[in-house]
Amino acid sequence: MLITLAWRNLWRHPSRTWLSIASMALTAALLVFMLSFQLGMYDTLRSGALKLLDGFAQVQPPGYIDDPDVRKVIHSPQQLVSSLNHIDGMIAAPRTSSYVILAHDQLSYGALLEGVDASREPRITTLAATIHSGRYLNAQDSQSIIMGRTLARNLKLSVGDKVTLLGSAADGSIAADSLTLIGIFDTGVIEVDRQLAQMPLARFQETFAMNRDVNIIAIGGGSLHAVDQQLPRIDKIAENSKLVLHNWTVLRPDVHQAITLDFSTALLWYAAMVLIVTFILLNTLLMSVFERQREFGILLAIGMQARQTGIMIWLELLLLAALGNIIGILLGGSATLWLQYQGISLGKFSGLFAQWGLPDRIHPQLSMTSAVSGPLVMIILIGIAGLIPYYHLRRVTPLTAMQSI
Amino acid sequence: MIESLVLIVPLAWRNLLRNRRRSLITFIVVIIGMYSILFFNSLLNAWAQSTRNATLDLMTGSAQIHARGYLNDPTIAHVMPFPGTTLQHILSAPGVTWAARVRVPAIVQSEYKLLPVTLTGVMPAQEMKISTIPHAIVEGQYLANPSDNGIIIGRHLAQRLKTRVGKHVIVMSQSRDGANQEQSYTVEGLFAGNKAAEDDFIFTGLATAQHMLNLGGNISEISFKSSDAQLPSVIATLQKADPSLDVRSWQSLSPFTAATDQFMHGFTLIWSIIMFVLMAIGIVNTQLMTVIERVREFGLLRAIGMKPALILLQVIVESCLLTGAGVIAGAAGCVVTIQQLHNGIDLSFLARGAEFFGAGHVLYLHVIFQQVLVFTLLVWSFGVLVTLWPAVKAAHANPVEAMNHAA
Amino acid sequence: MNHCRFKRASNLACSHASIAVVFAVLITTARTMAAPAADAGALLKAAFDNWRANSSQTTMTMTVHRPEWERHMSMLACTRSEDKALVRFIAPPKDAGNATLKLGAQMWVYNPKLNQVIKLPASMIAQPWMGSDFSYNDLAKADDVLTEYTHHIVASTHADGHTVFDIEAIPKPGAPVVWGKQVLKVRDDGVLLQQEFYDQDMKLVRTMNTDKVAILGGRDYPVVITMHPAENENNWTRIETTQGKFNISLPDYLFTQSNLENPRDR
Repeated sequence: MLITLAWRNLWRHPSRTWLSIASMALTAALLVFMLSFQLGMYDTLRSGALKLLDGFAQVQPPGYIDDPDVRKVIHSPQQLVSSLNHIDGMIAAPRTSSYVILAHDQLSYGALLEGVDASREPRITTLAATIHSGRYLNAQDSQSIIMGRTLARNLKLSVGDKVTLLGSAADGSIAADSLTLIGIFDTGVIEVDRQLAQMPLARFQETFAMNRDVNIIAIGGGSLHAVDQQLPRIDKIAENSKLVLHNWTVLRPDVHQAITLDFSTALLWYAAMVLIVTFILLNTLLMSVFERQREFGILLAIGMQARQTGIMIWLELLLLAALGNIIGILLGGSATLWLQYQGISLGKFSGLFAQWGLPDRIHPQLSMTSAVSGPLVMIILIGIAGLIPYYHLRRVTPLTAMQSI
Repeated sequence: MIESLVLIVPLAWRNLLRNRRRSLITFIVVIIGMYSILFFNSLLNAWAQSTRNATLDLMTGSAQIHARGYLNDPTIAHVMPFPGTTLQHILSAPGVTWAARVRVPAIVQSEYKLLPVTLTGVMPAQEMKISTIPHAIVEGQYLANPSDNGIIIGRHLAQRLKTRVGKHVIVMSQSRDGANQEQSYTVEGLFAGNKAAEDDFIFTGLATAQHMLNLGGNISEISFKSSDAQLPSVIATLQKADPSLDVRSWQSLSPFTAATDQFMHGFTLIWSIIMFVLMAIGIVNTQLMTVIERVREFGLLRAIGMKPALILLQVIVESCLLTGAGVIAGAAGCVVTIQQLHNGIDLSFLARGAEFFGAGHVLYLHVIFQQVLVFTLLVWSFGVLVTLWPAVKAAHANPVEAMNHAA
Repeated sequence: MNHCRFKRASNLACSHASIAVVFAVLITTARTMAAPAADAGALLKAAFDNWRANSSQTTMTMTVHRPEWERHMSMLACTRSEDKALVRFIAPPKDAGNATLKLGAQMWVYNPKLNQVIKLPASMIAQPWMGSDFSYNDLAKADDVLTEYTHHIVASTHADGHTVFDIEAIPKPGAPVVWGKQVLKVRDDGVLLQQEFYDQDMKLVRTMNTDKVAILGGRDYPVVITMHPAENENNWTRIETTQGKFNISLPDYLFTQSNLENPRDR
């Protein structure tokens, strides 16, 4: 009954109502976009950091993460890799790794050498994009190696040079090989550029007497989100093989911490922004309510109770807020979805980021959280503030109200 | 026209006072809008700046001087003499702070582990002025002087080495004559920074490092800090003063930071634009609402014979006064707030659980006068402009209709 | 970058002095020379002097034990004075030909497959030597326990007709050693029976035991020694010396990089 009245009331002043709805809808739309953009950006940064080397998740032998050892292996991983690859949109790549001596002429340095599957790895990691001279490994390569810029510089190596490796094989014997440097990468990450080298998996397994065993299986795919959703399934597969699954927060606690910090700062800004815009909108809404004193006086005079009038006003405000925010969510949501599909070009920055394998577009991420949180806060605050006219009206008599204008 | 203004201004002023609640609400909305735009803008700029400085203020500084060849082969092979009077003179310009370092690859060893690191010999008093590391000691204390023979290592490195303050570690590096040098150092302090820095850098006194590496008075690096505006000229002067040296800005030393910085600025811009639009919506909404509420009043004025142009002028003047006062009050409030916050806003409470510390999480806000001016004028003219459309409509409306418009 | 990926860099316990024993074992001379019981430093030095014959040539087998596997290797070792050593593996075929040369603090390794001599980078000295529980560092820093420590006798016992001294070795102030202390058991005739390595919190990190003393090359010699890391009971490395000749003349060329690469017949 009151709600019908409130609804009809709204449309007795269409321009005022539309104005309120429009401003609220625009605000809500911007809030939806902003949070989606923010979430999308963190996702881009997070994926960028993970995609450089680690992948979105890894299956490892138990204890490997704390004490990596070439002898801690996943036996005959083919079955496991192919069952992981069968999960929708996921790519799994086996890797081996060991600390070795790399030598050239009289120079020798310690390095972390990884054996990688050159056909799968580029679909999981972006290291290939950071190659600054030569090229990345491919499926035909055998006696090839790629390494970080600092490592190559320390060894005074350029593309095409021979480099020898000496390490400790899985069976305890000496692992030794002579390889040709075919590419040098520059990731901008000091530790990686100084210590990392990669060679073809099969050759690594042969050199380190590993049969077909591998040390880890890196998992990548379309998006971090998609992989995260499949984690319980992967976990089951890993558990069946007596292996452990590590998600990205375990693999990269540093990235997790940095993003958590940055994100909580950004959320603080966002919360402040929502409060401010809601406050401004509320001011205006309340102003227009108080402009209607005369109208309330008449309502009271014709016998409506102050309480009922108050509830009616409150309902009007809530209806306005709901209407404005629903339109806002639809508006903001569809704009965000379109941008999510299109991606927002980074313009002049895109080239800048390409050299580190970061994407040249940011895709906002529309989610339940980003679509609803801003508008919901607005509605709740308006709902609370809508009680002000209610309390005010209870002290109003028809006479004072009608005199006020 | 002047005459009309003389007539209108007092009228408008009285009008504003008469509708005290309405005026007050509009005023508050404009103040908050203006204040928020400016404050958020400088907050986000400070954020971008602190994100950049969190990296640069660890070791890089604004720029660095090396012997030619050092950047390609950052070892003991490329050192330079301690800066002479000419260089020191340039580096002691107002607004410039500098520190000399020895910086060479080394290996640190504990009972349990041996790790590759960068041994850095520093002048502690100078280092405190250009780097956040001396201020980010989480355990023990920083070096006392250039002859201090203790060592400061990263917190994470200490965990990896399974060592702590008070224990000793062995540092190995090559001296200038190619011989392997090793020396025992007592861990005097642990610093917190980003993980890469915590793992990479270990610090001892400059003289101690020079002695260990048989360097005489030579150094590897001068890092200095200056304002962004003055940086290019300082670099040019230094380069001219000694062409044999390699002077590089932070953009050239740390391209990834430069890219991230530009990205952050783009991001800040998007935020600022959205903030501006949101505030504009709020202000426009209030102004429009006010005018809509007053359609009846305008009808009355028309009925008593006031010309539409005059009514319009009155609305403009009222809006000018009200928005103007709000905009100026908002801007002034923001400038005062920023000045009050000169000690910075410490965001570390956000990171309590995450074990982050100090560096880069204190925001230092700055008033950018140009921005204040631009935003003030923009919001002011915008606020006045949006009242025009309904005012024009109202001014020309049929008085009877207008008076019936709203109850 | 996840640092764990790089943990291999140096996750192995590194010891300054245990090779004192490995090499000591290689070169032990069993001249039974009673050391003055009161002076720990002199006793230890006498023990080391006894082991350090002018030169030695020994044949050894090394067993590396892990819970999942065990490996046996044979090697020939030559030493001359305290700073030159050459170890060449002769079995199994997979490892045969690999060799390590130590000249002072520097080390080189030779691999027959690569046919190349590689200088051991400083960042690798904590890595296990041939996959064992000894590190390259153990070989390089053989003398530390003599030169960088002060010594005290903390106990003496009698066993098998010998007096056995427990000697505590504490690093000299500022000495470039990582250990908190070492505790050595030395028999009065200069045979080392045990060497323990403690961290700076005086927690035991690893122990080397002499499992068997027998006559070799005419002297009492710890023919079987075993190295145990304290934190991992199931890992150990045992070295058994099967043949030994001492105080023989070894030519200069033996201890050169070119000989490492192209061994001449001995």
